[in-house]
Amino acid sequence: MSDTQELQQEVDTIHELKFVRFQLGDEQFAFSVDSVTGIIKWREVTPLPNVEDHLLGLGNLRGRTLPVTDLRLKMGVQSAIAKEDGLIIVSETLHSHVGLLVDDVLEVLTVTEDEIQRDNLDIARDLQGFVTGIVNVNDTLISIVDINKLVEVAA
Amino acid sequence: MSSGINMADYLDLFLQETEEQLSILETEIGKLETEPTSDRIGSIFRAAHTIKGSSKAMGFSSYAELVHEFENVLYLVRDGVLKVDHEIGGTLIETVDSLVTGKEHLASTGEDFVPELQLIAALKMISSGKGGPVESASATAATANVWPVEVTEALSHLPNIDNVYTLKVSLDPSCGMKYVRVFMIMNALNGLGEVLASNPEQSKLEAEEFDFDVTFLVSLESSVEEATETINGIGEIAAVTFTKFDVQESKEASPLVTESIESTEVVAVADAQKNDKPKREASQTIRVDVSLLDALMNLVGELVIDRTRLSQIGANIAAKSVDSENTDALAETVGHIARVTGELQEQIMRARMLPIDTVFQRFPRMVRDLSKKLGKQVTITIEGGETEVDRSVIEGISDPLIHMIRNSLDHGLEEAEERLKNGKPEAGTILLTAKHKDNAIWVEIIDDGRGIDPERLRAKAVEKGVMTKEAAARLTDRDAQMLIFHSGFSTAKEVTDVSGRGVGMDIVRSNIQSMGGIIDIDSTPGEGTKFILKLPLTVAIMGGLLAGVGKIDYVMPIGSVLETLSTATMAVQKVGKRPVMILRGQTVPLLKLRELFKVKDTFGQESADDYVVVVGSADQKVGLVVDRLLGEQEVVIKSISKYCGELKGLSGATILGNGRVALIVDVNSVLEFTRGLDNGH
Repeated sequence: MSDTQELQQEVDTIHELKFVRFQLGDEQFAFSVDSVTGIIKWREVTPLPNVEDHLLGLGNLRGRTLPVTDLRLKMGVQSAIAKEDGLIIVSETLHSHVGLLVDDVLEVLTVTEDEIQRDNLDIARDLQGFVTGIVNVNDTLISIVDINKLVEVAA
Repeated sequence: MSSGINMADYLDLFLQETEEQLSILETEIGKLETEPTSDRIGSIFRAAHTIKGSSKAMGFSSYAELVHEFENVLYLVRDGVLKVDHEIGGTLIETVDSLVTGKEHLASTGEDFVPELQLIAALKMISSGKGGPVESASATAATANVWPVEVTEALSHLPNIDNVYTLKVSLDPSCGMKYVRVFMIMNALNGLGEVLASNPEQSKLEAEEFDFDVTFLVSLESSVEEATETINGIGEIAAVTFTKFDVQESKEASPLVTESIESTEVVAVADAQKNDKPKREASQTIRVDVSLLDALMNLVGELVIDRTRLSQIGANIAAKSVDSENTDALAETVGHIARVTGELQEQIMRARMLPIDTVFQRFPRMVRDLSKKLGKQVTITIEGGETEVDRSVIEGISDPLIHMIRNSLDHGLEEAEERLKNGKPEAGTILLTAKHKDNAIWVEIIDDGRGIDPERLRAKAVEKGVMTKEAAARLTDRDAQMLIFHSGFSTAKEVTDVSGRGVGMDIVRSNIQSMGGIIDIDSTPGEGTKFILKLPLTVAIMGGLLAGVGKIDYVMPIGSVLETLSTATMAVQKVGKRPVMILRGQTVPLLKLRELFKVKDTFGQESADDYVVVVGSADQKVGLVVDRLLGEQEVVIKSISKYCGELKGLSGATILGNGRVALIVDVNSVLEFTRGLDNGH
């Protein structure tokens, strides 16, 4: 392998971004893998009083309490999948620890920054500013969602 | 930084150490006047010495100077030249106060603290007036070119002179802050044994008046290899050499000089020898970061939950299985694990315990100072200071207690004249007690002052617009007295420096409540006031009553639960639109948890509302209507992710033996909610 090739490969690695791609209704979204700490099956939650509908309640994740939000409700996406059949993406950020219920998790998506469309996002549906980019994979549009913005506050 | 030391880390270490030493000073200094034992003087001395050394190392020279002057006075006391009278005692106490204030300053700003010049002058006057310059002794020693007599004397008393070594350390010439290095070496040595002396003497080391070579005389408790390795591990050290110390030789040859400050360590050795105590009691204990204990506590919490779960599973298996041999063995093992876990939990809780004296010990001083300021005569008596409580509780009650004692002094106790007129002894008394009772800690503050006048509080409430005159008149005396916990409710006729700004008692109550405690008053006008605090043993684990509504389980802190009743046996009435029940002649409002928490789903049946859990305190109760009672249980309090925002009516969550999450009811906010309803009607 020549030096140039090696260098090129290095550059590619630097720009490679990994996302967890998931399904909500008939749309696809992705979170950066950096903010995802795990994916678990649906589990029983204890509902909390006087919170928004999308916050389903507190579940037990290995002895810690985990608030679970129905991402379909939060993002305003219709879905026929029962919550018991969904999956929970667990995210731990600096300020928050939360589980996000989605229909299905598809794969870990690897793209380069160049492939992400960062402007003209208004062609995506209005998603309250959570979407920070769009990737086109085999003619499927995937909205990249900033998990930090999403989990700032539930209310 | 050139020396490669992270100053911020170092500052933390410094503050931690200084805090420990200051607390020794605070405890001992007040007793110096009345009981100047040599043990006491010795421990004050060592504490001051340590603070001085480390603050110099940190570059807090003004702060160190204050300690230095303080030490100078103590020399004279130690040597019997000076007797601590009331005035000198006062100055020394003031100095310790200033050191405490200074430490806060160092902690918050990271900058040096400049003490009041008057204080320095006062200390100088004491030491110069009655003993001449103190440096002379060590100065003589410094020129004497042999180990001073004190050192050899002390050495000859050492049980194990074989352990004494001369240690030569050469610092790396590129080393930036030389004294910090030396300080770290000395710290390390004190962990391995004891530094007896150094050359150059400590003050020169502190001033960095040396090249790169320092010689120490140390008494080692570890092996030379271990010591060499430890010191090399400090970094930026070029060479380390240990040589066995020979008493005879040293007398003739060695140009070593005693550590000028003063040979406190030597004194310590001699004292210990004299008292026939084990030489280093400190080696029996180690310093542990609180966060480590917290982490252990959490892990044990998990174990406790799994233990409960395990016994449930075990019981389930036993019920279904026919393999009695294995189910018996399982039951036995589960039982054993339960016992061990229980023991483990208890031991770790004990590791976090401190005697409540940690907080109490400051009050005699505070009362003395305040009573002087207020011109009142007050004696304070402390009982049960040895009662052990969890660290978290200690931290939580410190401020509330200060507030309450200040209040008792300022508002509670009358002026001497008034007391005499009412046939009371001239001096007021405050009794502070602590005890374990009913799996809780009870702290009481009792004064023999004027008590809380309900009439005055009623008038105040009307004046402040808190309630109408009619509403105020309807309050029982006790309810009126409870008004002092209302915010903005200072009844002092004028604002004083000590208290009376109208902040205080409401904060006291909310602090106590936020740690799951309860505060109560028992006051008779003219006779005195008793404040009663009932505190949890620890804030991490809590006894709770489990009650179900729909599919959800709620935990009520057991300390707030007064009684439980079945709805079948009681009469529900209505006041206005609100349901109430009559409990032994008292009207208690009823609140359906189902409605309060908007519980939607039911438990396979229509809302049962079969039981009432009466929560609150003697003066304010509310009956919470629930479907099921599930018994008492110890629960580990889990925080709820910030993602959920503020959850009104809940103070946290816990995980039950069956793995489900139960919600912990915040009784205080429920009571507040009830009060809100009252005001609305």
